[in-house]
Amino acid sequence: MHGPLGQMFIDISFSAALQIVMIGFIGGVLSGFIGSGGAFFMTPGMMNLGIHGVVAVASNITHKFGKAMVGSHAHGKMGNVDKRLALFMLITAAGGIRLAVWINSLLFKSGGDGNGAVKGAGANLYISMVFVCILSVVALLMLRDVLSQDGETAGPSTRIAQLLGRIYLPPVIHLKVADVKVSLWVILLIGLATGYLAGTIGVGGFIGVPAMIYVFGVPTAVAAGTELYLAMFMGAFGMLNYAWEGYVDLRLTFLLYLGSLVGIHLGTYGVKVVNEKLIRLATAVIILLCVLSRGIAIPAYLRQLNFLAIDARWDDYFNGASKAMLYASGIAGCGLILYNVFRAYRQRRQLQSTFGIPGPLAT
Amino acid sequence: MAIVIISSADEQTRRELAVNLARKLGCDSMSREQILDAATEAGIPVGRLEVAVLKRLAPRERLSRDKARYLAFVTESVCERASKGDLVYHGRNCHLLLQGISHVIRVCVVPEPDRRINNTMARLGLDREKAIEYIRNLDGDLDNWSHFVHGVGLTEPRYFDLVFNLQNISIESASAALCSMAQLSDFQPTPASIRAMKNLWLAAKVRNKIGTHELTAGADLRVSTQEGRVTITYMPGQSKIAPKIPEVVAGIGGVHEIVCTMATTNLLWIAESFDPSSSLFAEINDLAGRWGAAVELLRWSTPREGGIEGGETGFAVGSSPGVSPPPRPVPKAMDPTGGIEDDREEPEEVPDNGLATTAERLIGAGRFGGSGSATGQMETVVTSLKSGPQYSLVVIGEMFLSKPSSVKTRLTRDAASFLRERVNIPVIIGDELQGQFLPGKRHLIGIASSLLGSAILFGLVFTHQEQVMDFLAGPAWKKWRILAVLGVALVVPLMAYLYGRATGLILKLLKFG
Repeated sequence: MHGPLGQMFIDISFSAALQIVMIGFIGGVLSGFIGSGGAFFMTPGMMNLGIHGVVAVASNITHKFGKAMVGSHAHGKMGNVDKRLALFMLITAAGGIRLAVWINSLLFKSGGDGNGAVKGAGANLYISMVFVCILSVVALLMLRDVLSQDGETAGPSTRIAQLLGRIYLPPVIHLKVADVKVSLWVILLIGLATGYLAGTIGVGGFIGVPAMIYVFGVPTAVAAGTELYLAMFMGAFGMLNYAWEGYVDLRLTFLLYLGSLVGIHLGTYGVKVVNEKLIRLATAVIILLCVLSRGIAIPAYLRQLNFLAIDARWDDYFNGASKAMLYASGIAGCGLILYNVFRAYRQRRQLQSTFGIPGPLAT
Repeated sequence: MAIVIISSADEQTRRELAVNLARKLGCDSMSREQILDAATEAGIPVGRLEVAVLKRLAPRERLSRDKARYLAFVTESVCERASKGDLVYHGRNCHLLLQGISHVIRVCVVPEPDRRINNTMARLGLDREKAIEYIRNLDGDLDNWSHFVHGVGLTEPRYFDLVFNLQNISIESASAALCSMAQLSDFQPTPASIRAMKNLWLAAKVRNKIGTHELTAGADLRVSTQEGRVTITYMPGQSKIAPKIPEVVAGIGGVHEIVCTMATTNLLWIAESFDPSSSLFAEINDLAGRWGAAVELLRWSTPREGGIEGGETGFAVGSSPGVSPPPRPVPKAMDPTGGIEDDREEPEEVPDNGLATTAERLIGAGRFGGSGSATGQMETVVTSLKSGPQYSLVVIGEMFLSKPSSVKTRLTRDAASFLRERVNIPVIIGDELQGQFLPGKRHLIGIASSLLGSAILFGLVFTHQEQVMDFLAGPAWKKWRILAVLGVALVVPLMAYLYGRATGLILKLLKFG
């Protein structure tokens, strides 16, 4: 890339392309397994390759749009999409995305402190901070929920949904597919938060899916399906906004697809062969490790913005450690899932090979 | 022709009630103990079987074989006696026999605790404490036995029509109530229930004959009958026995036709409704042909739904008569004729949602492995699958018919997931069968075209990186901003669709799905 384009977008070498495909694959496996977008891995992964945070988020949200479109179609066929819920959430989610894009663009253009600090450092810091704060809370809550339940078949807690059910805040909407009644105001609030996070760090699903399960009391499968349906529109809206601002790198999006669309099938298969408690435990641990990885990169951004007086050479160490931590968590999580996937696959093949004799024989 | 089956853990209590009731109905009573003696005389090691089950001594295959013989013997004996007129039969968990026969009244009798303890003390010469402990152990053993033989617990309430607690009612009153109940139209035989009973009886006779005949004893066979047509499915290891089966079975009264089918395995097709003209039937039949499998049908229905009557009944080695009986037909409204029996119309048969016709088609194709019905929650099916033979594949067909389309699809998925999590058997939904196990040319064409399309898009972007990025974010973008946005909006979903489709189809071919 030359000129202004070179300042904003990286040159993609073969090695960088392979790494992006790998990031996409791991993100896809985690995404299929966990049921969220996988951006919690892909966004920081791309940032570690030197891609600006805003470009990483923009390319990832664009990638998410296409993926969600394919995924929500499949979920729709399975009857897991509550379109009414998605529609109401979308009303405020669009506003949330617009707000996020505006903040990201502002920080990126101004450098963050308004005094000519390193370009993109402000946006990078802001994205990383939101990432760390929100996902720490999500992962810890998830971990607490898993560890406090006994038995392998324990389902998600419905305490919040029951509490909200007792607070009558009209108008109350009956969601037919999910078969629950929820106040419109709660839906709109969650929609706004989901949209804002999707636009800021590309992981709106981490708020949307738990909120649907824990706050609305929606069945897990319907929450995942509806989130994907919602993600399709939010992704489209986010993509249009970021494309309008000129931040989408189509090459990154395509490379992410190469890995993620294979990974997502394997991750989804993993859900069928791994018990639910382990799924949620693995999810919480993987997210926490991703949060830690992003947290390690924060001092470098603080230095670039002159908030921290450390040697510039330390940036490489922070970035390297962050990258290593991210890859370690992604590869470990992905390895765990793939181990279970291939073990189950092998068992099934062995079972089938015992009766694969062709042709009936009747006497 | 009333058939009353009384279950109680206390032999003396049930015997008294059965004798009293039989006297009122003017018929015979028959006890489990009588049948046990006869079974032992016939060479079925019932005592050994009980001990082996409770102490887990014998290998499962052996136990399953003995269990099938035992069940067949008991069923044949009860059906034979019931065919002669009214019958009162009593045992410890006999209410689980003759499932699917609507003119059977199933009664649970809860004995008075003190009386039961005293009976035990007197019979076994034990002190009170030991008698109590003995009863507690016995109840546990009976429950285990019930799980092994029938696949359900002893006290599962939905298998009873009536429960008498003898702390609150005398035997005389319970007997009088049962006598009145036996006159109710709900418990009168219908053509369908008589047919179902004949099927059951014939299947039991055939299974019993095969189990006792020297040429076929010890063979693992599945027997199912329908209107005199007997289908016997055997595994390849027993193909030498197969030619002898018609010779053994031929002499049994009521057998009009014998079909012997070798199965290398069993497929279980669970549905609320079956359709032999559906594409799913063709696919299952095709798959069964490729695998050399027998297809077993299980009609599953929710408790709210009207039940089915009859259908043919299978006796499988280690199989699953433990599935719950089909619900009874809905009782007719009160009769305005004053209850004159001769003026009543025969109760209408409740439709079986294609079970019988599908079974017939499978019999014709030589791939029928038996059929049954289950009502209630999916746990019933899980119990049945766990206690039955090892299926190679479970196919979920049309379910939740009363629900809207999207809910039906989701609930079917949930049911499949539920089964997958609980049984170590591949479970697949009917819609996925073609893609998963029967891939064709269409799939290969789909893979090739999708891969080609995505390769073209990918190639275009990466061979024109400067131009593409210029259009999306450079000087060209400033000029043609709207076009740039539209371009992204069109190209990205297209790439996702093409590449996603290709990977999905390839992974399905590789059986990841």
